[in-house]
Amino acid sequence: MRWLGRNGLILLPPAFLLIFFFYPIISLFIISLAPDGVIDLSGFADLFKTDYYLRIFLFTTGQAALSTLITVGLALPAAYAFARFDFPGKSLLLSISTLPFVLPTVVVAAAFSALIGERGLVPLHLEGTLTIILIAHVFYNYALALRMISSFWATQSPRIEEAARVLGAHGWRLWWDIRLAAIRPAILAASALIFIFCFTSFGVMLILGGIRFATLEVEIFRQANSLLNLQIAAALSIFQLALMFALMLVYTRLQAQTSTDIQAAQTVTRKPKTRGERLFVGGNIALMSLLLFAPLIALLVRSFRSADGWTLQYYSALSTNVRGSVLFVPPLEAVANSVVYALATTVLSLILGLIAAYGLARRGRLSALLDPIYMLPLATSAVTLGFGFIIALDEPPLNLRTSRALIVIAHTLVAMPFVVRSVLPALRSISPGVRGAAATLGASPATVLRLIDLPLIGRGLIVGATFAFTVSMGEFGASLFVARPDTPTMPLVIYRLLGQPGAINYGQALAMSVILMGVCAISFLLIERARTLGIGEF
Amino acid sequence: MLSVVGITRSFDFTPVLRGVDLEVERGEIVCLLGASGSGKSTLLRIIAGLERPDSGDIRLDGASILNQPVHTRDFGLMFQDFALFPHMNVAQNVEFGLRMKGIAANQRRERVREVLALVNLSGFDKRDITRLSGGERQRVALARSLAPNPRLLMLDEPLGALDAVLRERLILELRDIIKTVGLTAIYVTHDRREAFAISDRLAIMNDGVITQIDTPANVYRRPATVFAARLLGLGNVIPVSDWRNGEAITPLGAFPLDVQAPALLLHPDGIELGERISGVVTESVFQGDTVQISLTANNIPLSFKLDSRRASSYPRPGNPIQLAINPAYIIPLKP
Repeated sequence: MRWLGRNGLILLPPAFLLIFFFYPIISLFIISLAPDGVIDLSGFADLFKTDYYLRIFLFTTGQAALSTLITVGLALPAAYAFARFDFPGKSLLLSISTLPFVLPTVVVAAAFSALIGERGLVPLHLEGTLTIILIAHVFYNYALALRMISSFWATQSPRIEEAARVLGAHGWRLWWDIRLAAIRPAILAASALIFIFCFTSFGVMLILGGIRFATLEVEIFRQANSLLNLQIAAALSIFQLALMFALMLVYTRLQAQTSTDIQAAQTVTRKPKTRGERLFVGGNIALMSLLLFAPLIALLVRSFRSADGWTLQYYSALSTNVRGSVLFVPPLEAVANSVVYALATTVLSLILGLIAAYGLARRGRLSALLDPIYMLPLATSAVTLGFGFIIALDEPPLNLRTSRALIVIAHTLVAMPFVVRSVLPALRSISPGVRGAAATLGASPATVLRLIDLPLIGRGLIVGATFAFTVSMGEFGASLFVARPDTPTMPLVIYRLLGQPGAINYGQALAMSVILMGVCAISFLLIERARTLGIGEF
Repeated sequence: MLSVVGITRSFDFTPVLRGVDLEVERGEIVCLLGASGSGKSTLLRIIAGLERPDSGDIRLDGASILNQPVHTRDFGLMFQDFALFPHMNVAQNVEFGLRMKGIAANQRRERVREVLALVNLSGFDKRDITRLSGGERQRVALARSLAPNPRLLMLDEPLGALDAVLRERLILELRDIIKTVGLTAIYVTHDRREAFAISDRLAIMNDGVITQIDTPANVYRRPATVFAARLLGLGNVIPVSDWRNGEAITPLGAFPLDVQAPALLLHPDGIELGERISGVVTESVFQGDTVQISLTANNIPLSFKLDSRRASSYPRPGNPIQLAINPAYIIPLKP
C-alpha cells in the first residue's frame, strides 16, 4: 500500500491506455471474431470471398510503395546537399520544410485541390487520379525523408569517403559502395516510416482520391460508417493493426541502427564551389520551395478569389449558418470547438505524458516494456481508433458516446506520445548525480524539481505542449467517428464543405483551411523556436 | 623515392604550407613532428592527392604525380579517426582496396587473412566494426591500408584516438609491422615519444615549413630552433644578449658558443652538480632511477635529471644548488 501511495501516479498513464486504447482495440477483436458471443470467423472469411479486398490491399500497398519511392528518391539529392554544403538560408529552409508535418491532412488536401484541378489555379485535370495523391504524399513526407537522411549523412565523417578514394574508389563505385551504402540505415528507416504513413493515408485519400481510390483505411471507414458492416470493418481494422505493428517494429529496428554511429559526429560542410555543385544545390532548393510553397500559396490565393475577382465573402460567410448547409452550426463555431478541445487535450496529454516520461526515465525492465507500448497509439490508424471508440465506449460500463470528452480522450491518445518523446530526452539527460548533488547542497525535493528538473525539461515541455495542441487541432480520422454533429471540429467542417457543390461552400472550406493553417503555422513557429533555442543554449 | 618540392598551400588567404621540401628514401620511416595547425596533415593530404597545392610539386621516383587523381596513386593513408566503413565488417573493410583493384574474390580472401594475421587480428573477419575496441579498430585501419601493398604508407596521428598505455604498446608494434613489410612510410604526430620510437628520420615542422630533419637522436641532441627545443620537451632555453669572441653573454653568465644565436639551450643531459651556476631548488621529484630537479637561477627556470644512484641525499625545494655544464651540450638555437 505504501508503494502504491508513493508510486500510484506512475500507474495513471498505463491505466489510461488500458481503458481508452486496449479496451476499444479488444472490443474490435471481439466484434470481428465473435460478434454474438460465439466464435464466428465469417468476418475474416468474407474478406477472402471475392478479390475486392485483395484489390484494395494491393492498391494500398502499391500507392504507399510508390509514394515512398518517389519521396525518398527526390529527398536523397537534397539530403546530400544539406549534409555536405553550406548555402544562405539553409537552416531557415530546413525549418520551414518541416511545416507540412504539422499541417492537418484536410488542409493539405484542400491546398492541393486549390492548386491543381478544375477548381484550382493550375487547370490540370488531376482530381481523383493517383498522380495528385502521390504528389500530396510527397509533399507530406519529403521533409521527413530529407531530415532523417541528411542528419545521418552529416554525421558520416568525410574522412570515410577520403579513405575510400585513397584505396582506389571513384565515380559510381564511390557513390554506390560508400556514400549510399553508408547511409542505408537512414534510407531504410525513412522509407519504413513513410510507407507506414502512406499506407494509412486517410484524409488525403478521402478528399483527393474521390470514390475511385480506397485504401484499407478508407474502406474501414466506409464499411463502418456508411455500410454499417461492423464485422467486416473490425476484421479489416485488426488486419491493418497487425500489419502496422509489424512495420513499426521493423521501423524501430532500423531507427536503432541509425544511432549506432561509431564516427565522431563532426559536421563538415562547405560552400558549393564548382558550377555543377551550385547548380545541384540550387536545383534542390528550387524543387523544395516549389513543392513546399506552391500548394500553400494556392490555398491562400484561392481563399480570397471568386469568379468575380478578389473577395472576402468566403471568410465572412463562415460566421453565418447558410440555409441548406450541411452543417448544423455556423462554421465559425467549429473554431471555438477546436480550440477548446485542443486546450483540453494539451492539458491532459501534458499531465499523462509527463508522468509517463518520469516513469520511463528511470530505466529498467518495466520502462523498456512500457516505452514501445506508449508509442502504440501512434502506430494505430486514426480511423481504427475512432471506430474502436464507438464500438467500446457507447455502452455500459463506459458510455461516453454523447460526451464531448470522447474527442479529447481520442486526441490525447495520439498527442501523448509526442509529449513523452519531447520530454524524455531531457529527463534522461539529468543524471541522478545532478539531483543528488542539489540535495546534498541543501535543496528539498520540491526545490530540486523547481530548480533542476523544470529548467532542464522546460523546452521539451513547450515542444510537447505545442505538438499536442497542433495534433488535436488537425486530427481528422478519429474525430470523424466520435464528434457529435452539433459540435464539429475545424477539420470536419472543412471536409463536409469540400464535399459539397457550389463555389461558396468550396470557398468557405478554403477560408477555414487558411485559418487552421495559420494556427498550425504559429504552433510550428513556437516548436521551431524552442528547438533552436535549445540547441543554442547548450 | 618521394620528393616533395616547394609545396605551398593557403586556406582562405591564411598560408598553411609555405614551401615544404622533403625527400623520403625507399624503406624508411619519416616522421613529421609538429604542433597542431603546423600543416602536417595538409601536407599528407596533398601527397595523397586529396588536396591540391597552390604551388610546388610531388614526385615519385622523379616523375610528377601532381595531376594523378587520388584513386590511382596507390598510396595508403591512415586517418586519426580511422575512417572505417561503418556498414562493412572487418574483412570487407580490409579487402576494399583490393576490390577496387579488381582482384578476384579468392585472392582477396587470402590476402585479408594474411594481413589480419600480420596485425594480430586473425579470426576477426566477420566481426562488426562497431563492436571493436579502439585498439582493434586501429589495427583494422592499418590492415586496410596495408592490404593493397601501397607504394607509400602515410599515417596521420594514427594513435591519437587511443589512450596512453595503448599508444606506447602499439607504436612499437606499428614500427615492427611497417619494417617487416618493408614499406616506405610518413608518420605524422605531435607526440615526441611516438616520433622517437617510430622514425628513422624525424622532421620538425613549424608554421608551414620543415625546419630540421635528421635522425631522432641527432634532433634530440642538437635541436636547431627554440621551437624544436620546446617541442622535444627541452626547457632550458636561455636568451643570449650579446656574442663576442666565441662567447655568448646570458643572464647566467658567459658560455662558449661557436656561432652567433639569439638563444641557447643548456641541454638537460649535459647538466651535473658542480660549481658553475648557482640557483635555488623549486621542485624535486623522485622518479626511481632519476630525480627530476627544477630550479631557478637568476630568475631563469632550469631543470635536469640527477642519477638517483649517485646521490644518497638529493636537493630539497628551497635549498641552494650548484650546477656544472658540459660545454658539448651548449646548443645554439635559431628563433
